[in-house]
Amino acid sequence: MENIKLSFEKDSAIALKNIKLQRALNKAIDQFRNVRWRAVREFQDWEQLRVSARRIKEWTIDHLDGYLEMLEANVINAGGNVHWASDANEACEIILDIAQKHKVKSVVKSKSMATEEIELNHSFEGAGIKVVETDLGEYIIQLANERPSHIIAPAIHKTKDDISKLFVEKLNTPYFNEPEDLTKIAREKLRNEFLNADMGVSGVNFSVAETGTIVIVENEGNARLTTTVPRIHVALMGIEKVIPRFEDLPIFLNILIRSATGQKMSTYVSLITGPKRNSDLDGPEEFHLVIMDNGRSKILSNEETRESLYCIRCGACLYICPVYKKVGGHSYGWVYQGPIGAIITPQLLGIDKASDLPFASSLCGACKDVCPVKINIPRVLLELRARVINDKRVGARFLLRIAVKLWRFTMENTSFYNLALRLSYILQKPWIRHGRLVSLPFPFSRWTKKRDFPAISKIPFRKQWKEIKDLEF
Amino acid sequence: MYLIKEADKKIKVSLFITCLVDALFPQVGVSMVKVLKRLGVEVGFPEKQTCCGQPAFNTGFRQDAKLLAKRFLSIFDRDEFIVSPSGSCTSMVRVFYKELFHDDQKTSNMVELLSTRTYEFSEFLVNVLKVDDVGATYKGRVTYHDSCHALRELRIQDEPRKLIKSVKGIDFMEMKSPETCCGFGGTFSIKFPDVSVSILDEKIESIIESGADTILSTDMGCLMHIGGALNRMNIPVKTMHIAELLSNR
Amino acid sequence: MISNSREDILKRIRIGLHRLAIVRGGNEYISKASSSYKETQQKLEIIRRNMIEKKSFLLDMFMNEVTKVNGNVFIVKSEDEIKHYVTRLVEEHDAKSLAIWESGFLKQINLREFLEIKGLGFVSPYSKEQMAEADIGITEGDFCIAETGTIVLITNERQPRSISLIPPVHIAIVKSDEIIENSKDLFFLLANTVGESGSLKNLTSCITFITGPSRTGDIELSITLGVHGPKELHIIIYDS
Ligand code: SF4
Repeated sequence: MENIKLSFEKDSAIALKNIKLQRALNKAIDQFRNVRWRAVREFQDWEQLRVSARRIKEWTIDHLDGYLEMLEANVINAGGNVHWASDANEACEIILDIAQKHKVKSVVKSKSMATEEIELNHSFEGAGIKVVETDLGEYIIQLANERPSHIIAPAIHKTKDDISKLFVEKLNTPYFNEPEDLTKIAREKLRNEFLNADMGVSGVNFSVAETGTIVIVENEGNARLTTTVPRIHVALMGIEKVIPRFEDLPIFLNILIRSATGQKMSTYVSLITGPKRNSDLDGPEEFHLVIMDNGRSKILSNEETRESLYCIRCGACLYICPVYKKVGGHSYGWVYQGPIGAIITPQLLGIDKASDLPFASSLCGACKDVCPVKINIPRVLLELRARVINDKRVGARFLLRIAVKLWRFTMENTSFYNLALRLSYILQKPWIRHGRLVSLPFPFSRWTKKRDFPAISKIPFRKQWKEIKDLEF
Repeated sequence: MYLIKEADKKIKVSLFITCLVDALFPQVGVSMVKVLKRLGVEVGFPEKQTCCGQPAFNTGFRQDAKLLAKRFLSIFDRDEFIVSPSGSCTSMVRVFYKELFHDDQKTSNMVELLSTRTYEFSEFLVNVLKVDDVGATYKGRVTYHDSCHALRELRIQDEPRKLIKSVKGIDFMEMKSPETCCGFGGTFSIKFPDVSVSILDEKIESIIESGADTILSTDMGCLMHIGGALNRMNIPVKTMHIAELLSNR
Repeated sequence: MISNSREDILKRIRIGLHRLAIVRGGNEYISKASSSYKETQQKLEIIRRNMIEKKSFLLDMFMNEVTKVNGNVFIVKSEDEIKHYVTRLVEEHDAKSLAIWESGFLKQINLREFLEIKGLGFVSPYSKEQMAEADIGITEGDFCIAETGTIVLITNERQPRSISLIPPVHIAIVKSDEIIENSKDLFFLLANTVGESGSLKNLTSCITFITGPSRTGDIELSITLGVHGPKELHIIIYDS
């Protein structure tokens, strides 16, 4: 993780040229926006729900230490084990350690952003333990050796033809081109993995402090299998996932599910409290909850950006974002993508590692309007932009700095401003064609490559004002 | 048409013209003056004004933005309405100045006062002057693009539409997703030109699909961006600020 | 090496929140939000009364929603009819091996014995290998949510989880007076009825919400059923 340096500019250029990706994104996003819109509109008190969710999140994060301790106590009381991980390495070590103690050979995983964040699969593979992603989208991505491109729909960038070919190559199956057939193949392959696995690793959508319950929301049933069939269940959560009360759940289930997929309720919601009881007939014998910080307490310590922690990873901001719609998930360079990625990644990895991301937005604000917990993403982006500018490690800003200072100096003084207007008017002449600027030198060429720029007018408004101010119209 | 009666105390407005309109689109400012004067408003123009500081704020140069913001505060200190032909620049003053000075109580208070009398042009007409019909006429099929800041920071959505629909002879139609960003985003359009342009392409498509011959907005930033592509591609659709439309007789 | 991460993390949070010691916001919020015993009972009473008085409305809504999410619903008036529908489903799927909850109502109507006499075999959820062979899983539903078409299954010693999960077909038998209007009421009811003496203490290991058959949209967003969980969900509503 230390050596990462993300480049939105390079990665987005690749995405923009990928016609297949563009088509997939268009289709997925248009479809999603419609469905979500309906799911939200049919819920009468959506605004009220957002406000409640936001309040609970604010309250919880403001009392996070207390709730985490409460959660821990209740998980232990239910017969589970609780581990605390300061960073990604420690989280991997803890999970690996549990696996090795039980001589685990094979692990099944259900979808979890947190495990992606710590690159848990690498750790398992390094230790010679087989690990299989079981969410269909994630399974496809794992076979293709790629990274997911969307929080909720990891494989939206792949067509069924891509997937068919992938299955032929990696699973030695005949070429089937129907989603139906492909799904069936995956079901059979993965069934065996479930039955043979010694350990299941899941994420956590919410955990309830009051009861020690973890909640997992899904449609496929792979998370249920992961948390039911293997002997050991390990769940990994970031510290921000806790909510206080059992009765807060309907609020969060509603806003998460409706925002994430446009459903009223997902196919499965599992409320898991500890391992199987002695008298239970099935379920895992051991339950481990790993509570991970990995940079989150740092986010919390800054009041300007604290609200980033309220995110429930619904993915709605991705779909609504005009930039994401064009560049897809991979351009954001890391696990978290779209608007939420643009604010979370620089904060978790370090502002110097992802200094492009806070700028990768037109600040249109569609994300803040759609976000079910009302995170003001543009506000956070602006705050992070200021941090980038003030960060000594982010180089190559010397010229920009000078330019801004010069510009400000001009703007601070009306006569310089007038002079600048006059000068620009004269200097622009060589570039004018039909009254417009069509090819300017760098950096303005970045505008004029595809767009004309209006010419600076001979008589600016302030001069015209003098003529019209006393006229009647 | 509504005229402010002689007996009424004359409403006074200071134009906050924005550097973009001043330098590139002075006709928009002139149109605004015409419309306001016709409605009996007393119009003034504080001549020391330059830029509100938004470009610096948006690129992370908060210190520079603060200096310009303070300058703005000192120039627009008279107790009059401040009206601007831009939802974006109005947002800067009304919304983002608070952000900028959140740790500076004294300036915050000034900002608070200032922000209550600062308006974008179309909302000023509809919500303050209570005018929908300014007596304009226009022959043409028009559509309207919601500027992001006008829509999402100031919640201006119905106001311009009311004004447009009251214009005599006009044929108004909504395009697909008028609320989707045009990809301008200030320096974003230069920092990531390819992303910006591909967002713009989608907007251009919607405009063409709508069948309109004129595209209207509250912001010259968006219109400059949209118009830049329309011109380059030789598409015969005119860009027009809402003030220009409303001054047309 | 013994890790101090627990203390480190909690300390970082406290410092981040500009506090020196723990503030037990937790209990305060929980007690502030939960109402008095009497109020709770009154609210429960209203919810329960609603379930009875608005029964046919809720039933319609529930059936409608289940159908929307690709589930099948049947209304039956008698125990015999339940057996009839189950037999029909068994025959339609040519099922040989079943798995069933040993829960109250299913025991009461002797469904297992009835099917055994018909020559069907049963597997135990103790063995996942056996479960993998089962053709149909039969459970009850403890509650239903009308607004979303959801059935709620509470795991306990007679109600294992895998029967509603591993077989490709899931039949759930619910009673028409178990239908609750929305998830908010359901959680209120659960919060005050499950766990030790309805206090949420010592919850059972798992509570599962099921809304329609297993589905995925991961391949080009086209909805495909039965990816991991059951491909078919049949809900038999007993409305006596
Ligand atoms: S930021 Fe808001 S909209 Fe985006 S994923 Fe998080 S909760 Fe959802």
